[in-house]
Amino acid sequence: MRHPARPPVRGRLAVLLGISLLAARALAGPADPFDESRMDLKPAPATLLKARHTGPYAAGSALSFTAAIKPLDPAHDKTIRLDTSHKIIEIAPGVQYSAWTFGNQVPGPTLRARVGDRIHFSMTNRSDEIAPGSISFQAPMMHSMDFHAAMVSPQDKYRSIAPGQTIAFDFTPNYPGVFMYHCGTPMILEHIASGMYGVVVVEPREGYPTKVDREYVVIQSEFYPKPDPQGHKVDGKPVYVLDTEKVKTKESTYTVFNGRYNGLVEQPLVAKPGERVRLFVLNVGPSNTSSFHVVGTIFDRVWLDGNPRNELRGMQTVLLGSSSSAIVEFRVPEKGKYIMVDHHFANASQGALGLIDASGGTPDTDLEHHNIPATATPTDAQAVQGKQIFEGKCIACHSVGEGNKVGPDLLGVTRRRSDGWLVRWLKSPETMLKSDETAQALLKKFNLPMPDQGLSEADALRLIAYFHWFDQQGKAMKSGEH
Amino acid sequence: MTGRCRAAAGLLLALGAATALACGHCIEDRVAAVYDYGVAQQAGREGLRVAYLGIAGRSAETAAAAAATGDALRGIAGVAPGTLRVAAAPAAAAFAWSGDEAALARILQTANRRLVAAGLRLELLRVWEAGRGLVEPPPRGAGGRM
Ligand code: HEC
Ligand SMILES: [Cu+2]
Repeated sequence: MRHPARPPVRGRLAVLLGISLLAARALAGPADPFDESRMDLKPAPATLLKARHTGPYAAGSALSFTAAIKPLDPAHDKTIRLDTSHKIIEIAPGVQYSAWTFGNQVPGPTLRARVGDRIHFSMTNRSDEIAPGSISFQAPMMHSMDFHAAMVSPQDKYRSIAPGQTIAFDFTPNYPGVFMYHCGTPMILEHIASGMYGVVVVEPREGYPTKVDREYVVIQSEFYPKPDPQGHKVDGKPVYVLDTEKVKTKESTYTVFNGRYNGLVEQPLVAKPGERVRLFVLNVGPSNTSSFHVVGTIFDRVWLDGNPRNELRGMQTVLLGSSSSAIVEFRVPEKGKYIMVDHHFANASQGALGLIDASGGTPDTDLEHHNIPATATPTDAQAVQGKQIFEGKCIACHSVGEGNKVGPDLLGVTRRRSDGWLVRWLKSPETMLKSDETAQALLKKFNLPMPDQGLSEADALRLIAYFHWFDQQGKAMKSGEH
Repeated sequence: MTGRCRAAAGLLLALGAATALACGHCIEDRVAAVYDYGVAQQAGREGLRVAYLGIAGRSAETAAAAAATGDALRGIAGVAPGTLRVAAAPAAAAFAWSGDEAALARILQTANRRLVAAGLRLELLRVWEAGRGLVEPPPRGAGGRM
């Protein structure tokens, strides 16, 4: 609006009236959603308790333990417990990783709350015990909790506690968002890369402005495993520990959604055609950036950091740095499987892949072997069994004719290697990596030693029969390509 | 920015991620840097306590300072053999000791005398004791000169 330089008297009165009306409205209101007078900026001190928690490592009705996040618990006061633990988790098929956790899982459970709620948080450092049914070889150590959703003194609330200690503090989320939480004990990089992170979803006071049919949490993070120098094993399989050098140079082996290589391919997020889906996406890092994309759809809304005030419309990807997040909403246009990827494809090939399954059928692993025609099945019994073993144990790391994954593309392997070499390799990659130059050169290239698959000689021969079959077939497929 | 300020910033940069990532100021972060569960267990078994110390001084957060601290503490009577731990960033040290608070004060006095030339000083941050866990040390003067 533009005013004339010298308005006539009546005009001036009108302007004055207008200004005072505006002032009155500003006083009475529509409330600023970020009005500091409504925020909690006077948190009470944290307390250290002697009694340690027992029983479950996480508790609280506002917590969700899987990708399918529960609706908001309407209670204003939310009491939650997230204890730390050490345990071995499987981050990729056959890769047993020595993890440090919140709530005995990686990622930790998701807390859902609303601006203005009161969170009563407590945590026992239980790294000195081993949860029933889990295994750990890791020495107990100090840990801490840093909630990005809180505004509090880090020296007080985020202090590290020793094994056996319990810390408790309250906080009030002042801003809506999708916030990271993580351990902040030095070396922070190592604590995060070992699995100590999760999400707090904070809804605006008035809720979200849109309605959706499905809500899921997707957390991207990296793993930097190396074989345990002490040679521990679980079920005969080698244990991997954090590679403290590679994590510094950002040479990740896996970049994953929800804690597992291709985890959301194995367990797709379900939706129906026509439905509207809301994803709470957090990129933990610790060091990679995510260019989050869902193949086959467009984000109707992107709320950066999970705050509807930071709205973008019609986005193909959303770029997320470490500890950046977004809420993305999109329509599932028709029957199909919509592929979630980090469009930095180097990251996707490390496992940052997932599916929104709106096919109505039973989830399967289509994505994994879609280049091999369904009819291309060996008839020889040996090779058939070999193919079955391959699909059960090897496909997460190897493709046939689709390029390198975690390990080399195995198409042509019978031309590269002798059957004798293959038998020795399959029976004990570990021994070969110690003694065989070809194996050592492969390791140099692929960075991750292939875990021992516990194969018998008979299984190895079945696999080799299958390799010979597809190498024959490979020629045929190439020539018959459309 | 004063010259000294710039020098300090330069040092921080030189030290890199370790310092920048850790809060560094948090007492517990320093304790965590040298916390060794095995040492605490051993101390518990042998009726010892564990002292966690910050290393103060202008050039504290360096490998050289950590090494000097280790040298200064090693071999002092009362420091339990094999329990000494030092870290450069955050700058901290820990060891199990036998005896009372006055014994600890004497250990620190000896070490601090040895560290004067290097411009370093040890400050008691926390004490671990079986049954009590990690606790704040008694205020200065309460248990001998610390
Ligand atoms: C966790 C990932 C992983 C799994 C699971 C895995 N491999 Fe591997 N594999 C690798 C890697 C990585 C290499 C490269 C050598 C190295 O780095 O150790 C490799 C190498 C190989 C090679 C040598 C390839 C060449 O070009 O010479 C063969 C053959 C092989 N794997 C077969 C298998 C079979 C068969 C299975 C299942 C029974 C399997 N692998 C399971 C990761 C894996
Ligand atoms: Cu931790």
